[in-house]
Order: sequence, then structure tokens, then C-alpha cells
Amino acid sequence: MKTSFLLISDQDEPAWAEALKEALDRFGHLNIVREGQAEAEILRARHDLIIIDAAAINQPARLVSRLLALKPELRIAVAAAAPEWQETRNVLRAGAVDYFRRSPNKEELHFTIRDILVSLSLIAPWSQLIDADIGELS
Amino acid sequence: MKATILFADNNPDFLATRKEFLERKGYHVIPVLNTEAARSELAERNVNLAILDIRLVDDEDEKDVSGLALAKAAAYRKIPKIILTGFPTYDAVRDTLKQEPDGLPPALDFLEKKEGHEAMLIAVERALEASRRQWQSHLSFGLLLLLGALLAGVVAIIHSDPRWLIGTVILGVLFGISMWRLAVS
Repeated sequence: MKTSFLLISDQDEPAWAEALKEALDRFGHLNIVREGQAEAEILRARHDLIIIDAAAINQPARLVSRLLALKPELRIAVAAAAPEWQETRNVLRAGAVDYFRRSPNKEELHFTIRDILVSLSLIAPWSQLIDADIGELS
Repeated sequence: MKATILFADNNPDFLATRKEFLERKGYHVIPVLNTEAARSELAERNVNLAILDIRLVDDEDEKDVSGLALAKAAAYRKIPKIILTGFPTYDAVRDTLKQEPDGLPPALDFLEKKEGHEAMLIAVERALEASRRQWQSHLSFGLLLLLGALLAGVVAIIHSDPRWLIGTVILGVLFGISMWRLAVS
């Protein structure tokens, strides 16, 4: 079964959504919903990883708590362009699996996403090695 | 029973103040000033919670993450921990609270030293409660396995059926493993 990702963002077409799509493309399918639709979408379908765009959401830690109260087995990561330590702590205390830097650099974003997927056992660690080898060869 | 807390910080004055505060709140505190002493105490004593300063070697060294390295060490993975620092950063919080591949974060909480005594007390109570809940859920699971083994044993005797006896043995072994893991943690 293909891995399913859900991006929660209130921007119509977040600039980095395309880069995120590219990073996730080989691992599964990405859906994008607004904060207001998030709860219904989570109840409607199975998602292996939820990504919250902190730039477009008011109080991401609260949204993490709300979603986990709805479905405790969810795995939620939050992305921010310039993460601050207090907000990072709030989000991780709320139960998110990660709070990562939303890099504008596609390659960096790709590596970050892959590290998260490996840490959640959504992809095998050796897929990282294969890419490292390809990187070295090219 | 008083919970035992290992408190590691290379600043003796800060350590003494916090130790006194926690002892007034009813905890037994083992103060240590460096990683070697912390390792030795963690190996020898039954510690319920460890509070670790990130920079245990040199407060001026940005690269000193000795306390965090201790929190990440495989030998102490099962001990609940709180990371404390005078220099909080995004990377330090992420390294501390992000889930590792085994599903556990290196520590249960992250505190800035400036946040004071009360914030520390809340974090300590929360961490000990989380650890107690986890222990209780492991114990309940173990007891469920034991109950299953006993029931399978009774059925095996009543029906003289060796298949139920195999079930009893399997559940008994699983019960033994779960209790051993509980004892180790």
C-alpha cells in the first residue's frame, strides 16, 4: 500500500508545497487541506504522516493536541521556516514526532523528510544509503 | 516512597540550590558534577529520574553536549530524563524531545535554567507520572499474559489437550519476558 501524507496549511498554494511534493513523491502521495478541514480529513482517511505548516497555522501545538485527541495513533510533524526553541518545545510536548526546519533548499528538505520517514520506519534505512551513493557518484 | 533523582550539573552552587529545593519537596536527590560521576551513579543506583545539564564539561563551549550525549546513551534509554540548559536553542530542543527510531525521545522534557524552581518541579512531577503510567501499562500487559497462561493451563488439564499446553508454555514464556523487561527498566 502506498504511503499517504497530509499537509495542513492555510495558504492557498504554499510556496514550498511543490518542493515537499517532490521530496515525498517517491515515497507516497501528498494531499493538502486547510486547518478547518483537517479533522474531517483525518477521520475520513488513513494518513501515515501529517505535516503541519506552522507558518500558516495559529498555535500549531494546539492543533497537534486536537488531532491526537481525535486519533492518538497519528504521527504528526510540524514544519517552520525559522523555528524558535519555545515553540519547538510546545509542539514536541504536545506529542508531535518532529519539528523541522522548512528549508527553501529542495535538497535539504528532501534529506530532512527522508530522515523523518526513516525514524518513523515508513521507509527503510538503506534507501538513505542508496541515495548517498548516487550523490557521491554524481 | 520517595523518588530518587540524579541531578547532574557542573555548577556546584546551582546544583546545591536545586538539590535543596527538590529535597524540601520530598525527593531524594543524588547530586553529581560531571559525566563520569553521573555514569557511575546511574550504573550503581536505582534512579527514578535523571536531570541533566547539557554542558557538563564547559559552560562556555557551544559544542559541549555531554549531558545530551548521556541522555542518548543506550545504557540509560529506559531511565526518564529531563534536560536542563542555560543556553536553549531550537537544535537542542529538537535533539532532546524528537522521537528516536525506537519510539522514545532521549528525554521527556527540556527546561531552561532561567525558568526557575517551580517550572522544574512541574516537569519533575510530569515526568515521574508519565514513567509511572508506562510502568503500570507494562505490568497490566504482563498480568494479562499470566492470566492467559493460567486459563490455557486449566483448559489443557480439563480437555487433556496438548495444544492448550503449548499455548500455556508460549504465554508463560511471554509473561516471563515481559516481567524481565519490566525489572530491567
